[in-house]
Amino acid sequence: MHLEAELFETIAGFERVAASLYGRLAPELLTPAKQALLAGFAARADVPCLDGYPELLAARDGLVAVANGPAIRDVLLVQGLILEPLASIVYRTLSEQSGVSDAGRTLAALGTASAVSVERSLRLLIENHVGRGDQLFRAFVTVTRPVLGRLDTFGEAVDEVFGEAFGLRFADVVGELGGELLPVMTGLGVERRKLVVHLAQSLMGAGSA
Amino acid sequence: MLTTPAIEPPNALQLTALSNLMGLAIFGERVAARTYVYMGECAPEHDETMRKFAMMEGKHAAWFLEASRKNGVEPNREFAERELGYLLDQVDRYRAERDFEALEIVQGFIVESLAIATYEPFLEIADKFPGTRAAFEQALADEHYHVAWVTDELKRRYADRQEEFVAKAEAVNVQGVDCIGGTMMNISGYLDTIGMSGGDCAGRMMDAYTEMLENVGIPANRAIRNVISLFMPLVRKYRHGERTK
Repeated sequence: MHLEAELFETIAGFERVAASLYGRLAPELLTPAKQALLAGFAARADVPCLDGYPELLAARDGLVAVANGPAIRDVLLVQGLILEPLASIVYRTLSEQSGVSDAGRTLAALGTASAVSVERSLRLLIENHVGRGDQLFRAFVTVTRPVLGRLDTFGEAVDEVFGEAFGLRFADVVGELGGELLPVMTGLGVERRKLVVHLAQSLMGAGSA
Repeated sequence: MLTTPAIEPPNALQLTALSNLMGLAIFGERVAARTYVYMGECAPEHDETMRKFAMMEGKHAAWFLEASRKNGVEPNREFAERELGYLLDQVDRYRAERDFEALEIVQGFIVESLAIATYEPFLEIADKFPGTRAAFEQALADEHYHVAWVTDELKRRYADRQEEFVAKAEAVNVQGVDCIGGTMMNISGYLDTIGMSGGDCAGRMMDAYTEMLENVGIPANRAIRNVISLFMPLVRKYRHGERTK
């Protein structure tokens, strides 16, 4: 499928950073499924260069730059709760496309399995290292605000490059992200209204009241 | 002796923002009154209740007009008409189709969620604008009452037909959230100017609307997914400093 390799390479950029952070700070999240995905990315026959898409590259790297905070709470909340589900949604979208190659389908399945494996350990790690309820919410606001503030800039580039080819609409991806985040965070004792207000403010790039 | 800190009177910029916001609130309440009358036409069994709701909305408009004048502010009708013209088209279409349920969702949920999301936090700064507190307090209580009635009615109407409600709500959302959510984005700066937070109000609106859908039976994660995906194109325009309409 046209642009399939480029979309995988875009996501691979996030996965490589996540793996490096997990290796240093949260080895429990560098699961066998995550390693299998990274091996799958490394074994690709066709690894495209994204230099022909400067805006996409800049938006992805800009997002990565604010998403690699040095503490374990950054890793758990930003990589675990925002970027992992985001990648998982893209893998799911790819696996539902009829024109995706067999190799692409295999990678998407590895990606989905990787995201599921991370999610399995994530909740307990968050409870142990960050906490629950308001304590968790305060940390979540602090570390995710810059990431969410840049998310739609990346989304615009994704829509521009991949929207037509994959029927991918970043607004729907963020909607899915909200749908996945809500039960996890309320399950950890975060008040829903506070979470939704934070999402709206951060995505708008608006300051808190 | 304890002293209460003096409240600074609003400046010219704040009064201009208030003029736009009050214009929207007054015109919005008048549109709401008319929509409830249309709903009574479409469902005669509810006509009496809908007329009562319309009267309440009409009173809110009158109170808000009086409060505006107390602050020396002339509500900006032109601004309000530009914001809500798109809503009027949607309401007129549902009226022509005699689609009571669609009117319930667009008025009882989407429009009311904008009102609730702005009136509630306004109360925190109301004392800066003499004469507004009592009007907004009562209006807020009335809007909650309307939402509760609509919620119960939709629950009864769609009992055991959850998927039909989901389909209906998602269809109404496409234009309804685009219009009312778009207005939310367009007034965000004015809300910031008078001492509220546009981002906070937008989030409250998204949450309030999600909760309303959830109370009729749509799982919260499905409702928020739909609401966020409809808000995101509006957020993108907001980030670029573009008006949504």
